[in-house]
Amino acid sequence: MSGLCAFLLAGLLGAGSDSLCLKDGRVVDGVPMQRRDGAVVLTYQNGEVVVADELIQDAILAADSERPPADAAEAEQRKNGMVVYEGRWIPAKKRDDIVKKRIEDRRTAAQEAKARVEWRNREIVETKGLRFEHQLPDHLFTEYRDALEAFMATFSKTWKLESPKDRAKLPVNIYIDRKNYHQVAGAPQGSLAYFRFKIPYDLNCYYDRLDPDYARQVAYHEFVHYLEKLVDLQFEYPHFPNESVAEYYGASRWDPATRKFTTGLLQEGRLWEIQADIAAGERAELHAMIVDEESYHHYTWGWSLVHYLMNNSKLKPRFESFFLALSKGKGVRRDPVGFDNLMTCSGEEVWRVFQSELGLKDAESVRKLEVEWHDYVDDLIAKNTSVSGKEKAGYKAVETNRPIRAKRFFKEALDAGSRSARVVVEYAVLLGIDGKNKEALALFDRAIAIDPLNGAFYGRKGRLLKAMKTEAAEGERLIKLAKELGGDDEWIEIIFDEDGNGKEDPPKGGGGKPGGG
Amino acid sequence: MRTSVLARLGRPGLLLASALAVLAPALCADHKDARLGFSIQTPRDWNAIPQKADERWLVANYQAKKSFFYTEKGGWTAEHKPDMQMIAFVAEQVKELAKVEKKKDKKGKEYFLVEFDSPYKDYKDYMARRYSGGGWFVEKEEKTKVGDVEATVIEIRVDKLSYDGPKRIVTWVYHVPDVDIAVQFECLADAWPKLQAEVNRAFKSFKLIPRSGESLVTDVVTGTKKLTILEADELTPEERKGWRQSEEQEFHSRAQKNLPNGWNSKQMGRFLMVFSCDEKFARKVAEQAEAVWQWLETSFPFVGDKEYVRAPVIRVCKNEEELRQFQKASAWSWSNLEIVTCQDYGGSTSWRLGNVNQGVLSVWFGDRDRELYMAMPAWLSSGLTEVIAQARVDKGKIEFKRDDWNRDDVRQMVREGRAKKPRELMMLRTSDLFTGSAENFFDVHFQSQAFVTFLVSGPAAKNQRSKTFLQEYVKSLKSVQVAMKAAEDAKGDKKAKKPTTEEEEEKFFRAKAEGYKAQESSIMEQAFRKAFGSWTDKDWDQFEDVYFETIG
Repeated sequence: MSGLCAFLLAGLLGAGSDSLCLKDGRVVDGVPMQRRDGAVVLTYQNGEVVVADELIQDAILAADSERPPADAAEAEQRKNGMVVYEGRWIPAKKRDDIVKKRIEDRRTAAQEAKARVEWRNREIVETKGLRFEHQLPDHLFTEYRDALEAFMATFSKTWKLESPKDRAKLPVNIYIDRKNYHQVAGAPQGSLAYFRFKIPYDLNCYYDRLDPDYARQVAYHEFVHYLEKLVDLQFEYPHFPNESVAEYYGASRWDPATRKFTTGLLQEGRLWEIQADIAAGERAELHAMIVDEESYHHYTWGWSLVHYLMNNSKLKPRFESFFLALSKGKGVRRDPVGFDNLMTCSGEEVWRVFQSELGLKDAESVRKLEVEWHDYVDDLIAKNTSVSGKEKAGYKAVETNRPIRAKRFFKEALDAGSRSARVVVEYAVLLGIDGKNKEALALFDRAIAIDPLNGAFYGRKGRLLKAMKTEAAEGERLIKLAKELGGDDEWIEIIFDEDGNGKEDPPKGGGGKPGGG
Repeated sequence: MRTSVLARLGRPGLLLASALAVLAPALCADHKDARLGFSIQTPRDWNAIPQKADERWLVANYQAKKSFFYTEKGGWTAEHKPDMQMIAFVAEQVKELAKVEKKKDKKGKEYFLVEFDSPYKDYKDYMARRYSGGGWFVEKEEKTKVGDVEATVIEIRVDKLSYDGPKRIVTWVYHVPDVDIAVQFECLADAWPKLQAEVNRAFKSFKLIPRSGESLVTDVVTGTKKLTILEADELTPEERKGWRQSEEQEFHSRAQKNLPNGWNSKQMGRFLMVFSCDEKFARKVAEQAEAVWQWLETSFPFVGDKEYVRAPVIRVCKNEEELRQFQKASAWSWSNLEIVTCQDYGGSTSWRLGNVNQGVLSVWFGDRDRELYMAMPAWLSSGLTEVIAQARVDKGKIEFKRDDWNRDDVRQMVREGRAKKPRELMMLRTSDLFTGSAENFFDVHFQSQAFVTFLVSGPAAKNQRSKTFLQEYVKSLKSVQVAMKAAEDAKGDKKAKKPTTEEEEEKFFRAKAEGYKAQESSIMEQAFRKAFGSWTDKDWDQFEDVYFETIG
């Protein structure tokens, strides 16, 4: 009977129908899977991949139905057609019916999640103020949905906005990855998200499974541009304070447990960009930054200025007054943008209103504010010791070619509990450059444990092994496995032909790739 | 009165004939490709557009004569002509991967050459990496068969950020031995119902024909040996000449291949002219390009005087629409050897002709001395590019036309106190252009044009002391560059010691960040001093007074 039961369940599941849904949104199928020691092991042509249970949202495995009896009592019960299910002995048929229903539901959910990788199969969800079109699995989407609705309520309350009753709901398009974003949203390379501020409004952003917090911050940033529209639909905020305020609110956090939306947190990435400027001998000047109509500083130093002003009880109301005065204040000169009857202010006018609202009557008061702001920035940098702060400091140091500094920050981040595979890999690469191959290999293994389905990590480890010559065959196997898995690294596709070897076959497409290839 | 049967049938017969004319397929032309071994009908009267000389993927390109229009609510009206493109994915070519090659420079030092121009895996990959007409997604995908040929039907919607309106792309990918041939139609979404029947007939007309036996892969490797620009730098001028001549020959030969009806190619002087415009206009373009070439040779004879300059291919489309379709279907390329323009009847104010001049400038300076060309400071680079665009041939002689728009812009800057003195303009670093507002960038750009105009065709060109101003500056710039390179080479591998502590690293980082700007300033100051060291402040004041007088 137990054999029949196993056969029945195996039939329900179907041969080769194992399916794995990861918490980060990827769905893998088409690869044999089995459970082993708190993990699911996937068997690819070029080796096994071990995915720890903590990374898994759901696993539907044929092997689950073939588990042998745990003890003699269970074997006896099985003879009578009884099986243990969720702590109770129930008839096998009843168990099979329950399992069948659950498997079907889970498989449907998994198939839907996988199908959404094609934009035509996207999910469309309308909430009170927004219309979402997205490719995310439900468990990831829920957080976006709740966060953006809460954000809208929080921002509206702070800036006393009227709720948009008769206005069309803002379309919010969330893509499963950067590739889909560029392709479907038509966004140029280098762009991370965009809000179309011309009617019809449209917001486009993407989910980044390697850095989901940053992806959310970018989405919040663009969402602020929409919320700023609600201050005055006929006014287009100038680059400063527009981008600086968007950065300020971009650093927000939604806590699903307490359902609290916290704004104005630290933009740690921006903070470390500022630190790099300071290290290079540059500090933004208040007047020059504000009159400038397109400066990149508005994202970095501008954010820090807004952060300073919004965290100073005396200056906060003045800054808020300045922000609203630009669009609604009397005596403010506004010029046409050139479409949709929109108006805006020149850099000089922004500076005039800023001085007026902040009470900066002379050069001395401007200088005083500038010094206080710079001191505030220095203080933020000195106190930024969070794990994510260290991670971002490391990234910035790599970007600015300061490897010694980068290694220190990566090590500190990992020692403090960072779970970022990116940190591990970037650190490993730096150690590899130093010739510390043993440490680098150990770090690649750590990255693989964190993100075992990312082919890039196997590829990097494989290339290092090949370069070391001692384990070239293992290196070759890992590179092949990397190609089989695919990943977030274009280098996987590149042949290292230094030995004049022939070309290799291109990576095969197919169901084995996370997210359906 | 008797009437013949024929006569009696005449009227209904005519009616029948006209009804059949409506129902019958529109008379289509056959597109035949013997290399890949297929033929397909193209919609009636669509224009064939050629491919760029270094194209590897696109094998045919057609454009409808009729335009369709899209008007955005409360916005602009955009015009769009449907088009048909055919792209071949040869199995052997698709298998190629981007690669990294280990090479050695002439000092024997190893370096890696990364070739990022990886081939397209399939049609969707081609779309993802090459399509720039807006955001798109596959709406429908299914299998079909045309005769014995398996095909995949892919229907695409183009919606977001599509500047000329929502569009529809319908593609059939025919899977034939060793090749996938994608035939793609693109039109405005609203136009699709009107075109659908004709397009579907074209799709279903696909046939295999015997292959000619030519290689299926169209390789763009040119010359006797494929070299990178950096590798070519390592050759002697004589060796480089051989390589360039071979590349030029190969490039010209490719440009003349498979020209569609209505296109001609003729050697006109040093240029290979490929054109669908009238020949008289093509000659005019060649004549003007030659005049610009001669002006460069006469004005800067000392620049790379031992270098061979490759003659470009100049492609002249018959009108703007044809040019747009050509450019739309063309991939970005490393090569600047193909200059593309169209007949625009703009006469002396034609900015399309200006683009040809700029193309000649880029090829000439690039081959004569690329390092010098790239090292030009902002005022010289912007100014020369804009001024050369204004050059026109009149009675066989080159003339630099006055750009009234530019004069008005700069005059306004002078009035508003934003204009810089030439001495200040000449000291601006590239980074100075990109800090501050866009207005700052354009201010510098426009003033550079005005200043170089003043030097090449204004009063400065006629004054004994200033008539060689530009040449003296370019010579000085080159000599500074040579001196710096020599100093760098003298250092050899004993360059700055690598930092070993974080403190050293921070100092090094700061010195480097400040060093870039300092070095740029230093080059400009040295070049300036070398060229105009003998000029007094009074000389400069006089010179600048005359300059501002010409602006008015």
